[in-house]
Order: sequence, then structure tokens, then C-alpha cells
Amino acid sequence: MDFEAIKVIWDSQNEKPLYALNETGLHAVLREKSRRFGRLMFRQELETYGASLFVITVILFILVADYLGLVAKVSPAVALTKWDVVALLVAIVCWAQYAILIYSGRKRQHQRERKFTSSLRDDLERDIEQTRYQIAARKNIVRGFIPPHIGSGLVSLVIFRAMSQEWMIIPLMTAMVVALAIETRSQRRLVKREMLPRLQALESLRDKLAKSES
Amino acid sequence: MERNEQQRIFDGWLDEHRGLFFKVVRAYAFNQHDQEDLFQEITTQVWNSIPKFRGDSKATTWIYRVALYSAMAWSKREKRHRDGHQTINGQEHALLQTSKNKNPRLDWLYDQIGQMDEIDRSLTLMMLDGHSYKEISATLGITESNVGVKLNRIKKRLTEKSNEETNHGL
Repeated sequence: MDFEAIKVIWDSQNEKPLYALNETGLHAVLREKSRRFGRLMFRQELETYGASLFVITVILFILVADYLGLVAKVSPAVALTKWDVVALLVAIVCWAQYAILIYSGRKRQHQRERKFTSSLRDDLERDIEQTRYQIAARKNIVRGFIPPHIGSGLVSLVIFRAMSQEWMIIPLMTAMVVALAIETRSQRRLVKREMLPRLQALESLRDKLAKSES
Repeated sequence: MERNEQQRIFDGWLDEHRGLFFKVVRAYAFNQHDQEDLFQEITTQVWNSIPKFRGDSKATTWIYRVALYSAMAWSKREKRHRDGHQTINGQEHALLQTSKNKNPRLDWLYDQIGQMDEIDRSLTLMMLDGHSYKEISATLGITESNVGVKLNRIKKRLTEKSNEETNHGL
């Protein structure tokens, strides 16, 4: 057989579609992918709550220890001023606001998703809405990250001031600004590389299903 | 680039060149689970590549370039992870190869392509789809003369193989 005959064999696949859509399989694949995406998002939320809880616990511990006089007992040279206390309270508000913002957004999203059933179309719609929500939540990511960073900066400032090591705040603030830039970039990459292609794939799939139904 | 514009281009490419995607998928992935995985990888990479497409080359050449490089990268990654990741048996599949269109001669051809090294595989796919030496050279980053030499060798080998085979129904 010459090469031209091989080319004819090759071109024969252009005549008929080689693959068809298997709705049951598609539904299973979609669910598996949604589970994976959900796990990733849940892990990120958990990190947010964990970090908030940790920082708030540390601040409360410092405040209670100071109130009970334990700080002065352990280290008489260290004492919190009323401005330190105010700074620590502001730090608590910053971190709590961050965690509450994430929690309330997620809760609203859950409520919006209640209308969906477990059919393929509804699962698709739910996934599209979830992905859109996650993309929107990351649109103003810098603004969202600023309060917890201010909170951490205030805690550090109080601790270093109490230890008479004020200069330490400069490298620490630099490190925090760098960390903020890195975290913001990584979230934007997550949107660009994972979420937008996912949204595009889901929307294309919805269109294809709609076309096949009509 | 606006997302709507990106979406419009992507949908157009997927509709018009769907066959190209499947050809690359079938040449690089040999079971259904892998084929679906690679199909998604390629579509994602093609989507990401749209803002970089300036129209200097034909859309098919561009898609081929992205698809082939994605397939090669996927192939390397899969080889590394193959031991740790077994295909899940009995898993449902989103794409079904339509049995009525199963073609033993085409299966044989894909089998031959699958046995080639990655560069020869890419060369063969592009050649069979009618791309010029110049386009193949630009896509794969090898000289035109090298493309010519390799393709002549591939054509000769495929022709010999087809003549040797008696039981594949050609």
C-alpha cells in the first residue's frame, strides 16, 4: 500500500464523528471534578479560619495575661500601655472581620445553591455559579487581604515595642508586604489557570447540552 | 483580551477543529481515562493560549502547536506518575468512541503512530493533516530540511509496515 492510501485511511475519520457524549459518564466526571474543586476551596477557607482563630487566640492570651498581671510578673520590664491594648483590639477586629467576610460570603453562596437539584443540568449550573463566586471573591483580593495584614502588623508592633525591639518591625513589615504580594499573585494565578478555564469548560458544556437538546 | 471574546474564539476553534483535538489525543493517550485527561489538558492549554494568538499563523497551525506541546508535556508527566496512579477500573467516561465508526484500518494507523517517538508522532500527525514542511518546521522548531528527511523516513516505514501486515484488514 502506498502512502496515498494511508492518507485516505487517515482522512476517513473526518467524515464521521469519532466520539459521542455520554451523559451518565459526563455527570460522574463532573461530580468528581466538582468534589476536587470543592476540596481545594474548602482547604483555603479552612486556612483562613485557622489563621484567624490562631491570631485571635494569641491576642486574647496576651490581653488576659496582661490583665491578670502575669506579663509584669514574668517580665517586670514589659508592660502594655492602653494604646497597646487598643492596637490589639483593633487587630482582633481586623482578623475577625476577615473570617466573617469569608464565612458570610460562603453562606450566602450555599443559600443560592439550594435551588439546584442533582440532575446533570443543575449540577452544571451549580458548578458554574460556584466558580463564578470564587472568581468574584478573588477580584479584589488585595483589599481583602489588607485587614488581616494590618492586624498582624499591629500585634507585631505591640510585641516588639514591649520588648524594646522596635526596629524589628521594619524587616517584619517588609516580609509581610512581600508575603501579601506573593499570596495575591498566587490567588490570581489560581483564577487564571484553574478557575477561568474551568468556568469556560463548564459554560461550553452547558451550551453543547442545550444544543443537543434542541 | 475580553473574556467574552476569548470564549467566542475558543468555542469557534473547538467546533471547527474538534477532530484535530481528538487526533492528537488518540495519538498520545491509549486508554479512555487518559484520553479524557489529555483532552481536558489540551483544551485548557488552548484556552490559555488564545490571548497570545496574534494571527501570524493559521489557527490550525497554532492549535496543533499548543496541542502537541501539551500532549508531549502530559506524556512526560504521565510517565513519571504512571507507577503511582492506576487507571480507575469501571469508571464512567464522558467521551464514548462511537462503535459504528470503529475502523480497524484507522486503529492500525493510530497503533503505528503510537509506537513512534514523540517528535515523529507530531510530524506524522501534521503531515497526515496536510500541513506544509514550513508549517511543521515552525511548529516543532526543527529545520525544514530535517522535517523533509524525517517525513520521508516515516512515509517509507509506514508503507513497509502496511505491506508487511496481512492480518490487520488493510
